[in-house]
Amino acid sequence: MVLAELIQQGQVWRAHEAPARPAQTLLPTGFKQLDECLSGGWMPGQLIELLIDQPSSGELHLLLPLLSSVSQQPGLILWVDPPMQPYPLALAQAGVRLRDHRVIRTQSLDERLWVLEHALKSGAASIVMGWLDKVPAKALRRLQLAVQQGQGLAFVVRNSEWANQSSPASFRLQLKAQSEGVKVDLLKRRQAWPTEGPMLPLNRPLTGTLPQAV
Amino acid sequence: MRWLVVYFPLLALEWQQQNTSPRALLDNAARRIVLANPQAEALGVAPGLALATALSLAPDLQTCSYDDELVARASQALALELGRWSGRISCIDSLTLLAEVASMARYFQGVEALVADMQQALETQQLSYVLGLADTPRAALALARAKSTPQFDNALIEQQISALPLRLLGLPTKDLNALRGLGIERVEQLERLPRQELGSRFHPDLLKRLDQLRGRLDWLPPAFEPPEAFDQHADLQAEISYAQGLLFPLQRMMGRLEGYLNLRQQHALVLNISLLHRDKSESRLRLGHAGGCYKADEWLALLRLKLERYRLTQPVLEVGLRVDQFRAWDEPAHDLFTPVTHSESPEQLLSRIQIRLGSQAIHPLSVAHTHLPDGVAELHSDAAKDPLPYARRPLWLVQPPQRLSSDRVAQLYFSSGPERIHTGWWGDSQRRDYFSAEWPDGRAAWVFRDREQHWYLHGWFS
Repeated sequence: MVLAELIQQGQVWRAHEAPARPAQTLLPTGFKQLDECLSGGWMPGQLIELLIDQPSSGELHLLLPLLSSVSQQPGLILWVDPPMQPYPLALAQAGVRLRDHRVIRTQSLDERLWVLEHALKSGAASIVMGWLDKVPAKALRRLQLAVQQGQGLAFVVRNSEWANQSSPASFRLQLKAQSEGVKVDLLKRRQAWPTEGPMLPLNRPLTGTLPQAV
Repeated sequence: MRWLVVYFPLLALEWQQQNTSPRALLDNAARRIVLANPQAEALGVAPGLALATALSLAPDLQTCSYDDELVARASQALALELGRWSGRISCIDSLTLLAEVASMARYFQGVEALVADMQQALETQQLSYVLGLADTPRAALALARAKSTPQFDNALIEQQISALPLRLLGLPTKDLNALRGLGIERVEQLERLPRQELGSRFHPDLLKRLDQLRGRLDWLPPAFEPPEAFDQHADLQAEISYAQGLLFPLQRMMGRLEGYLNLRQQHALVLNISLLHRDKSESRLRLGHAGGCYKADEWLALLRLKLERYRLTQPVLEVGLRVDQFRAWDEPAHDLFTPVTHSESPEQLLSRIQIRLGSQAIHPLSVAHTHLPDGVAELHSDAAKDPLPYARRPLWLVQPPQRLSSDRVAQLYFSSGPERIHTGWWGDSQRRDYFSAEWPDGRAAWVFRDREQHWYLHGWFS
């Protein structure tokens, strides 16, 4: 394999590309242990890949504190082709302001990638969340370049069957829903080795009562 | 270098025509040539020639007669276009436009760059034009009439003015003849003569013109007032049968639109494009911009996206562009110290997405004050600030609810509930008991049991 190919796939970390200290401010994730793993929080201008076994494995739970803090400022928050309907009432309960949220429904993978790329490149959206499935690595590379240009926060949610495929995303987090909470493993992060991440608590009361017929 | 005069000597011949074949303009009686384009002149066709002679010189000469209305429309369109480079335009006559350029020079980084930019735009229109650039409108006009090349150095302009022939100043013929008899034909020669003598021997207009030329006396034609609505049409030279082909004529109109919006200090909100077909039927295209925009380039980018998805039903003969919805400019106040990273506004981004995907593709998220979540997409209000009087709701909704088999229900581990929602007594009455339950793989689900004791999956908590 040629070096250029490896760079193309994002498998080579190049020191001169990485600033000694991140120039932009990191946004706290809302989970203390996760902030430590990410050396401070979510990094704008970098593609962040969330890998899940199936929808609602904790991806929204993970992003909820971020959504709630970022949505207090003006700036678009785009949901590109989420697999289900986000429930506005629940988001509002969690303190998320809904005014600048837009859900975008596309008809094809081409359109979806087009929307993601343009939204990321424009810099007009504070957060762009996209749900993708099988995409060529080239497409992800384009998204990574687009977000570097726009300097927003970019999350791409994909199935964990693509976890073994190489990806140009700067951060790759694998999420697993468990009864105690959401387990987050960092498969890839900037300027550090992969690590087993923290268990994020889910604030749900477990009473264990079985309902009786009414 | 405050005033620029643009003179279009062949406008009546060249407007909306392909300027590759010999063409000539006839007088009212259709006997003699009044104007010929360079292609015709190359064949020997000159103004004053009889039509029969001209046709024998150039057998495929195309002739036309003067059309007042056409020239007036052309002149208005060009005045609008000049609005891109100047805030004050005057129409000296239907072929000659005057533009003030000094105040916009800073924006274009110099008059020279401004003129170069303007020339580049005029080249694409395939029109012959002459520029005159000077400190006074009268001098700029005379320089344009003299067909001199524009100079950007004050000393050189001064020389050009001194060398101007007197006949270009619009003096009475009697005076001109008298001066010619004295051997005085240029401005510098006239200026060497004593003023008092000139004033007593010639028509008072002579000194007046001379003073206007040098700026000792003001002369300014009235400013051009752009109309209330932008409405321009273009007859196409050839039928256009594919959507992308519409870009070219529309590109020209967008240039005029930008000038128009610039003159009026407004953003356009909606562009109405009408396409006239051969059988007189009409198709309409609507192009919207959420925040409004005046830049031709931005509208063109939107148009390109629109035309990519647009299919022409019939060939197009005529294109019209009408704009009557505007918003006044109010520049957002930029903080001096924070670097501006936004290259695009949220409205621009949403407009682009909407044009590519259609308006049904973008949905806002909003809270519906109904007890059942099914009607979520319909009502809305930004109630996020109010405390919400509901028990904990799932982040995802499964729409419509999925029926669960009894085997599946047996595997669930119920964590909280029931919460009874009973609603719709006025119509389709619903009674549901909602529970949070843990799915076998650890995910938290929102399930309900209806009146018939059937179980449904209605949402996920994370």
